[in-house]
Amino acid sequence: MRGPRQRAEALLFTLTGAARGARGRRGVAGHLAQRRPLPSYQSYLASRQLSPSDHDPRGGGGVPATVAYRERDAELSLHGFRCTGCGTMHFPRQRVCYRCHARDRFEAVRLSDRAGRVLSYTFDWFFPNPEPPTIAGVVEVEGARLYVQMCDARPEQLRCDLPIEMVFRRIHEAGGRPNYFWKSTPIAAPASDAASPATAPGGGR
Amino acid sequence: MKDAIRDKVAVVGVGCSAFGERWDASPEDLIVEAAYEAYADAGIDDQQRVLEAVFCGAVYPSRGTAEVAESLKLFGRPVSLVQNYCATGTDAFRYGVLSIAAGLYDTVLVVGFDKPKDRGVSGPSVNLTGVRGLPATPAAWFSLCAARYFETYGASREDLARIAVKNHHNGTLAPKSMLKREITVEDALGARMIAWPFGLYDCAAQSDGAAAAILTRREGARSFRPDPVLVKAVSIALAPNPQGDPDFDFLSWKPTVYAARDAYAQAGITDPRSQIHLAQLHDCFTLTEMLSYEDLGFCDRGTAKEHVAAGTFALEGALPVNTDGGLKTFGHPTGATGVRMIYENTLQLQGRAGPRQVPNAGLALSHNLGGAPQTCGIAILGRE
Repeated sequence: MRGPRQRAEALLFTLTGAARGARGRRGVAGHLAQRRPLPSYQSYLASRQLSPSDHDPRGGGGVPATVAYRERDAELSLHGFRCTGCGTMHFPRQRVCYRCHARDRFEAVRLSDRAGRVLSYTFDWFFPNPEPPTIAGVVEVEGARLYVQMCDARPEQLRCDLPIEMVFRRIHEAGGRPNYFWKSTPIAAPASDAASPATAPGGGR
Repeated sequence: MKDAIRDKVAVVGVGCSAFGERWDASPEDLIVEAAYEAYADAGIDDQQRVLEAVFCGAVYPSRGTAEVAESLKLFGRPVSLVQNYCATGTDAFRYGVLSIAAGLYDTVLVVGFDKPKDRGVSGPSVNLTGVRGLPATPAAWFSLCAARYFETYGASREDLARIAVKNHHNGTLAPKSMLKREITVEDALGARMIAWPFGLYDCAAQSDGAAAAILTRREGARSFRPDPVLVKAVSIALAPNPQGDPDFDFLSWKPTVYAARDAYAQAGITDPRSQIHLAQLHDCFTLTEMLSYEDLGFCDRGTAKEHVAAGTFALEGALPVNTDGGLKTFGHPTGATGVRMIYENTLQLQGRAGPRQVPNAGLALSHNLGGAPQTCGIAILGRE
């Protein structure tokens, strides 16, 4: 019977004259004599990486749970934060206002179901993506600015000020589990002649 | 006290390792290569006695300050490590300058280095430790001004390609550059895309390298060499992350505007395009160099493409930029880059730049832009 990640191979060697210099070494029997038996079946599982653990050696740490918890207002419910002193919108949450520098005078504003527009964009062929390019850019929603990916869009649709809305998507599986965030998506039905020559992106020129 | 630094500190020795994919060289090898060239350049053979402090710049050193102290066996004196994104090298230089201007030391060593090729990736690494801010690739970040700048001023990928062609040409004239190969506009436009509008040739490569400078008080500079170069200004400025900045216009990088304002005030420069003779600009991407022409006041807003076409910034132009080929041909070992620019500007001001020499160079600027980008470092050097 063969368990997961268990296999055996046998190799047969014939000792030749060249190995004579190795006399006096410990040899297989010597190494076996010096072995230390594993203290428990649990340590066998752990050494074979068959034991469930907080630490997935394959996919890196992923998103720390503490960070995901602290950022839940921004990253899950997609709230922006308006300075009640000067009205400036922020994303994500800040302690000090970018414009009037007031401290801790913010109210949460729901962005998830509001329309917005594309301020600028790019097509990233370098970022890992099974279907490059990754469309990304800065969008403005209720005055808040978010650097996000765009989904369900064709590169030739993109232009500055394109109307968008926000959608909740699986963003990656770092750490061996699904992680979610928001993406933008065009509101209007795609018009085939939307792109002007100056911005025509895609590949090449 | 805007002129508190001007003409108080001299560069009396510079050194630079060969930049490239230095698979067989360790950080120690690069640091020794650069520092001992700087010692020789300053005519120093008793560095253990002369160097009173060391300011290092590196973004991913594996051993922190010990990386430099152990490599050079410089102990029993302050050794500090500075990190400021891609302006790290310029900021390390700045701390060296400040320490002498403040009267703490007579002579100090500045070392910038990085060894990204030991990280096991050919390009920048992509880390997924959060869900926001993705794609977290420098090419995407620095491309964010392209769409709106192109729409507003009618610039295009061809204009960017001409900058890559210029820098590739200059790099063929620099002994220590990594890429010594001429390219054409067609090569640049036809290369594979990295992040629109950047194709492969619009992007600086990753490379290993180190650079060093020896600074001293102006009064004692001539005891090292007869042609010391003086520090006119050195400035660092930060700006909000452009991805969330409520006032960002996607036409200009604010950190450069802020740092230039301060550096020009320090140096007493009122008309940069006529007063500065040459510049090393942070061409991590071609568009970064293009926007920097405007952000530094080398030309009016929206006119960069006309100046690129007219050759204003070519080696034989009115204001040569990236005379050694820039990040484009040296690659960008982050901590080394700002100090590598000090090396090039010093050679130019001393008339030692060989086939890439700019005639009668009297004032030279160097510029780093880093982060998303959020930070800028500028140094201005001049002949005594």
